Amino acid sequence: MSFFLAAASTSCACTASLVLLVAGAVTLLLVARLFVGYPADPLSDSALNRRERALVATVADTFFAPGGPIPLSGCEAGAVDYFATYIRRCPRHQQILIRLLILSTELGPLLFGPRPRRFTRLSQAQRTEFFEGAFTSRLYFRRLSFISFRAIMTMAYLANPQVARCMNMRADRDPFGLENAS
Amino acid sequence: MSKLDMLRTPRDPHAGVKRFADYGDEIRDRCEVLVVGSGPGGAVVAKELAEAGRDVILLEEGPPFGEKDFKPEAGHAMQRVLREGPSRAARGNLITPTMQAIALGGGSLINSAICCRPPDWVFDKWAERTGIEGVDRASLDPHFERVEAQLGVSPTPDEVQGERNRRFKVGCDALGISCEPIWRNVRGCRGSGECFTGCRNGAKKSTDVSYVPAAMRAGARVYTSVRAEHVITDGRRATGMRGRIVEPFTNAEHGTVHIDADCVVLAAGCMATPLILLRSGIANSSGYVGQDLRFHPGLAVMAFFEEPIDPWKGATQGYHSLEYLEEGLKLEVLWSPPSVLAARLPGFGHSYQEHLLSYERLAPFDVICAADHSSGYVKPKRKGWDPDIHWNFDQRDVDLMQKGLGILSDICWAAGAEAILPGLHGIPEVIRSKEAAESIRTTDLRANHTISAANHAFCTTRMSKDPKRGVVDSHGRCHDLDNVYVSDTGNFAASPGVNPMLLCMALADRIAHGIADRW
Repeated sequence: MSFFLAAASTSCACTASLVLLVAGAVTLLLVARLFVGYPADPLSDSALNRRERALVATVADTFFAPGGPIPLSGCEAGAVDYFATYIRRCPRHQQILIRLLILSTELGPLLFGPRPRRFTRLSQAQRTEFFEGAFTSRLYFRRLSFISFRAIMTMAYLANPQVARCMNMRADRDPFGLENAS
Repeated sequence: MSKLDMLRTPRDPHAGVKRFADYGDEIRDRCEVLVVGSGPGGAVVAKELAEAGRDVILLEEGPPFGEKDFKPEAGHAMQRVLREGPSRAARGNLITPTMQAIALGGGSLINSAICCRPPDWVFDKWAERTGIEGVDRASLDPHFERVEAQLGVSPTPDEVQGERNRRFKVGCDALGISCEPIWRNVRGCRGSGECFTGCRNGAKKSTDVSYVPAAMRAGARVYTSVRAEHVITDGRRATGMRGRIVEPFTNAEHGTVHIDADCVVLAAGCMATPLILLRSGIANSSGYVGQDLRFHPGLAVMAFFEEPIDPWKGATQGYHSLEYLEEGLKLEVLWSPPSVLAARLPGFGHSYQEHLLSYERLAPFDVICAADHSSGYVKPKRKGWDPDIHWNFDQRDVDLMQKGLGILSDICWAAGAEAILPGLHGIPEVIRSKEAAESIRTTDLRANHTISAANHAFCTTRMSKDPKRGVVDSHGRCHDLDNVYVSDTGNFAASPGVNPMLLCMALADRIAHGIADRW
């Protein structure tokens, strides 16, 4: 009897250990999927860490994808550096909010799909699907996050002189030539 | 700079203004009248009282900006000139972006220079709301005239209207809706459309280049980069002000400031003045300090035309319609930096880029609403000097706004638009016919279906006859104190119906003359 009890006890202990081991492995895998595998930080003094920088770059090239009617992607237009400068100039409490925006975008697919992966690990088509969902979402704060992120990215994109030229957009102090006329 | 330009503005309108670099560890000074804030409310009081022979000190938290400091890039400009940059927002049943300048000249530096006298019925509503007496068009008209003369207020000339503004007029004319050139405090405008990021032509007569230099010529001393924090009181009398020297752009705190004064005029803006009063623990026996915050929410419809409009050419806001003013709606042409307006374009990726490419064919028109049913409050945050802002957009005002959007849509089609972008959740992103645009009128629109901006703010230190129903009397003096005045849009008893700057300045002129008579 005691043998069986001991055997059962050992078996339970083995099962528990196995479950713990599997749970630990799954947790490690999940942590790795969420927080590992970002490219190295190219600029140590950047206001963005390497995870944030990777996310901002991915978002920039989703909002302004390569091969579009304006022949500059978000990254090519310098959106990441603009974003880093922008966040550095923000007051501290706003920096926290912007970092939350970055984090919520990165982890958003885990909650809203289309695949349970972080944003930077989605394919381009899946990223597009994620943002389409955000833009038309019934959830106000999801729409707001999308619009806020796109607003900063748009400032970045339109600050590029080549993009401005493509749009025929000119910041002209004297568009009607009145200075010479006077 | 042309000879004409040299005649327009003094060579350096900020000569003599004390700046951050001028200060040591501490500022100690005294004066007869201390004015806090150099925007439309404060600069007028400083100039009028200095010219009346009073010893005046004017404090401003922000730095002075010259024409060469202005950059048309939106992000850079907003982060330098606005408190909390472009990210300040009111919380409530939606997140509403709002803004406040931190610069010599305050909001006048970055607004569209619109000067509009409110009609008489506005003051009837004020009287009805807080029992205020003696504030009406007839009594304010002499003050309006003085301010308009000082600023050179005149209608926007046709030569700088540009196609974006003209299209609005075409649409209004076709529908028989009244439409007029906007009167502005501008001399020699070249139609660069850069009011929002600061006029690089020096044409806008913001208070830093008009009233502040005039105040200094009359002997006023101006300290910039100084944050006023606490009014020092002794019973019902203020004896001075404590504050801090703050570094421009970083807001890092440096030395202390202590100024003794016989009279204190707070004109820090309707989102900052209540914070000073609340942190000083004064003037709030009514409980109204910081309460009853009102905004003019605004929404835009973007019209696309077949041919280029070049919306970046032309006065920032050149035409408006006051046809529906009494109902609480003001219609106008809108312009701000393109990257800011792009927030109203739909989509992302290649379709968004397509919209950006057609930007040159776009004209944005907007409606602002008196929002008489919507209100909120400002209060200090636990740390820092930025306000905690709360505001709810009442459904009755959303319904009114929806009516305005319907009219704007009609104006777009009458102006020859081939498509419009309503920018509302639940409505097609692009509408290509007038019939389809009826959905703007028929949809069940809610506050959080919109991307509203809170343009003008007021009422947080509202005037009232009864000290229990407001903070200041009809001459801007705090009910609870003998020698503390408020001179900013916080004084308003309700919406002014129109853009608030000119009314704020006329009231400031009246407050200054009241102080001069009394002291």
